[in-house]
Amino acid sequence: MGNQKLYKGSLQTIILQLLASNEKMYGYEITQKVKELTKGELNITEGALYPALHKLEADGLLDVEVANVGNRLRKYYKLTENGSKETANKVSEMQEFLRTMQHLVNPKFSLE
Amino acid sequence: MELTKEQIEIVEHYLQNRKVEYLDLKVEILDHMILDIEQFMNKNHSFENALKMTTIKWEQHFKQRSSFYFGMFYAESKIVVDKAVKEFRPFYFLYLAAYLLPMFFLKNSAISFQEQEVNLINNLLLSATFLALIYMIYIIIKTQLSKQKSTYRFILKTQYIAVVFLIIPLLLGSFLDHKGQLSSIFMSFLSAGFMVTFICHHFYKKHQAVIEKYKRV
Repeated sequence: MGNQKLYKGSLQTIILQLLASNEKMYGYEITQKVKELTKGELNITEGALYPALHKLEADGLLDVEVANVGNRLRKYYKLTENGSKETANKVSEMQEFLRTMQHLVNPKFSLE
Repeated sequence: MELTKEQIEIVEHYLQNRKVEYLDLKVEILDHMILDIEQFMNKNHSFENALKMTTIKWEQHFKQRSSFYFGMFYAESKIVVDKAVKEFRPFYFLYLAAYLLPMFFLKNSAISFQEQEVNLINNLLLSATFLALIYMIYIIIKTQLSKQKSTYRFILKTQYIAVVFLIIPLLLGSFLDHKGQLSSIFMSFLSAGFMVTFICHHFYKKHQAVIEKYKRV
């Protein structure tokens, strides 16, 4: 829980990757999914989630869909065509970053 | 546990009091808050307690703030201003470039026209400015009359003042000086005026798209 700052720079990649595997998701669902996948290690607050979603939307990587869910409206986010391409780029950048970090923090072992 | 219609109205009323009236944000914040409250209630908290805990969590995002990009007179909830800045930032730099580049370019290399061309060029520029002004007035009236608010409408509101870039050259009536040279100041005004018209057109279309999207549901 103490390493939330380390995850901060990866939030957009996390969101894009989740949307790549889930077609469309709403804000609360994203926070819960991340919590579930990381077994509570990563807790995305609304103060971090919405600025990241709005930035991705402003950059044209996400599109919005509105649906009626019984007694209220719900806003879903989904990847645009550019968003799908950018997800692949960002995930590959992230893998490269992880490999570099692995070499730096644990030089004796290599993934290759 | 699902909230009742009356309990949802209480949450909506709370958001209304915090001036979260922008359609594109209100829908997702309301939905998220309701789910937060339901989660607390599932852990055996009363609705009142769950609402209180949820509002404490959200309160910081509803504090009033302004931004350098829009000026201190345009204050709104933090979450609204933050989203507006993300949308507007690239256009702010386009706007600055549109104002500064003609001034810089014409100061360094003057563009002159022959006597018989001066009136034609001036009239063409005046007509284009007049058309841009009419379109800006149309956007202002249409968005002001629109009952629904969106973050894009907030951005538009902050840009209305820039119609002075179109009005001033129109009032003075000449883009060229007595030597037939394009005036660097008026061309900068004109370029900034056209850029603002383009920016307002862009955000007006986005505002309309948001209204349309939510109306369809």
